Amino acid sequence: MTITTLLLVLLSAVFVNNFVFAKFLGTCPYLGCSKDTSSATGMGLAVIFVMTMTSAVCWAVYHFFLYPSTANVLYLVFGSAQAAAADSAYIKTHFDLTFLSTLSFILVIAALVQFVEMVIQKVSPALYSALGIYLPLITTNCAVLAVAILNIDGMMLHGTQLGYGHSGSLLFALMNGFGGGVGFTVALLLMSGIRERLDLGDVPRPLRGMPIAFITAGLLAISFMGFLGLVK
Amino acid sequence: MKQMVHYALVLLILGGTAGVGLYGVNNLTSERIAEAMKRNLTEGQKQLFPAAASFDGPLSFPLSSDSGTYYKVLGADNTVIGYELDGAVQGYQSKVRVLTGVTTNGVITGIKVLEQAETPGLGAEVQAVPSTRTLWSALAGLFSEAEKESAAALLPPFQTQFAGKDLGGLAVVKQKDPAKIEAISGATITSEAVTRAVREPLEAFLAWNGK
Amino acid sequence: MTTQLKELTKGLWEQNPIFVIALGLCPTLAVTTSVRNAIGMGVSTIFVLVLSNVLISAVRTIVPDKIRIPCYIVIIAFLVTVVDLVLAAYFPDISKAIGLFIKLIVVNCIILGRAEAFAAKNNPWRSMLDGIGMGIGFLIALLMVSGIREVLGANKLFGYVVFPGWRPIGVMVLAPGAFLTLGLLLGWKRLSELKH
Repeated sequence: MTITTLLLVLLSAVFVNNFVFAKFLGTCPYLGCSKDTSSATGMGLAVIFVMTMTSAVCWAVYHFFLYPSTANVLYLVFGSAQAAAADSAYIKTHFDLTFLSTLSFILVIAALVQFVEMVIQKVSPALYSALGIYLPLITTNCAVLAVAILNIDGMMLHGTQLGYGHSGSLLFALMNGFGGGVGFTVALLLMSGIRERLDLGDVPRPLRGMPIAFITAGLLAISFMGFLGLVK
Repeated sequence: MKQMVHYALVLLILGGTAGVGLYGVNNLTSERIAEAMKRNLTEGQKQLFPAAASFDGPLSFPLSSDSGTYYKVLGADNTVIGYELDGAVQGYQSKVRVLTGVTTNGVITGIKVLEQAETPGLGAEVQAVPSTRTLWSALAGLFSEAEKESAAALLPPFQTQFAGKDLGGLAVVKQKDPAKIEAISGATITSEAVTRAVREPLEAFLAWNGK
Repeated sequence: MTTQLKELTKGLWEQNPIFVIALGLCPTLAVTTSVRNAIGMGVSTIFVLVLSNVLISAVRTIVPDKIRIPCYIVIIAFLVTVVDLVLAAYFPDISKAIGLFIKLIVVNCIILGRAEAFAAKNNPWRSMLDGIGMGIGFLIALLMVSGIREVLGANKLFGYVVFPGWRPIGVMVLAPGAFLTLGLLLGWKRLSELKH
């Protein structure tokens, strides 16, 4: 996988397929945490971190435990190579656990968030006091679960299908997760800057708060449509 | 410590029950899911080659350092009368999967979009059938079966553009041009994606098959 | 009886999960490109919400307080996967169009929010009523947003042309249209309250 391909994946995750503006993912924390720039920065950094980690761990869980292939750990432990050689559908019929993906991904995310919280608390109390209150919220940020699910679909299309094999699809997943997090942060920071100014403006009473935030997001989304076609 | 064991036990029992339950549901539904996917494919295969007696496949051919999927179309006397290629690319917001029928001379007999989840009203129009029926006429004549059938028999005009073309005609243009593929207005990316899902496997297949 | 009726009806409009509490916005924005998708999403959410409320309320005394959130998530993820598989088996078209967002019901704040705020404190019967009410309120909001977007953005309703010969405003079915529609609807609801 060349550097250019990876950069394109990153660029498209940040701008073209921005999680908030193009895919409507993570809208709740996006509107909830964009009231001022400092909380937006904290939330953004926490999301970048968790999304990248989630992409890597969920990729491993999917590839080594859920997806029926010769790399599946359950197949290596319990399966028989003779049966697999005799019947090409053997692995697929006996070791396909992909129906458990949603359940296992959300558990991975919940555990990961808890783990990250504990580690940060031990290692850097300063960082913890900055990010601490945002971390538990990330479990229910749908952008995080979505990136894990989208990575699976994407892998079939970008990673393995293009012939990059396993390491390629892992790199793709990492780039997508990191880029998605950065895109979310960009959206959050833009929005918080605008909302800080909106507080000073004379907004019609019924539109104050949430409604005007939505309309602002709509206008931002229009400007983000300008990135369409930037990356094929 | 005792508390930790208690917690772990509760989570384990709950997770185990959920896993077993899902295994059951999966067993009940997996056959139907596979069937629905297969029906979609076989309908498409017949539509592209109505004269075909049977299909041989899925077979694979080399496609950009990996492999693509194709089917041999067999006529009544078991001779190969054409091929059908199964290709997928990334569209505007979803995977676009297209089945392309091609004769042994490399002329496209037609295409069928097997999968897409593009924007309704824009990208999804690649699958739209023109209809003069409005909401009002539908409300008035809700039960007119004949009308429903005539609408179902029509093919999406975007997809019928591909029939009769060969590799050279697979370029997306914005003006009307019978020799090329006219994009759906406002949905250039999806139009491009469908065309690429036809062109890329076809190019690789013809180069490989010609040898 | 009247209080029970109240559990059912409060979610429809007064405490509508979308318009008032502003929960579960992602699917509201993403699947409302057409009324058909909105109905698929709404019905799936009602199913998960009602059953998760009942189940969580039933196990609320058994589950230790400290690990209640992971336990709730397991229950919700189980229900969502059931819906996902059933949709893929019986309604493949809808499943293809909104499949990702069906999976994301797991993290829909409405479900976990109601579990925490209501089901964890009330008996299964009341929790069921609350789930039905909130679910229908969610469906109503989805129908309003999707109706506006499909008519303005695609000039269609349930796939039928509404105004023959009129060229629709394409941006309404794209991302910006969703934000604008929801923003203006929220403003409209606020306006009607301010007048009182």
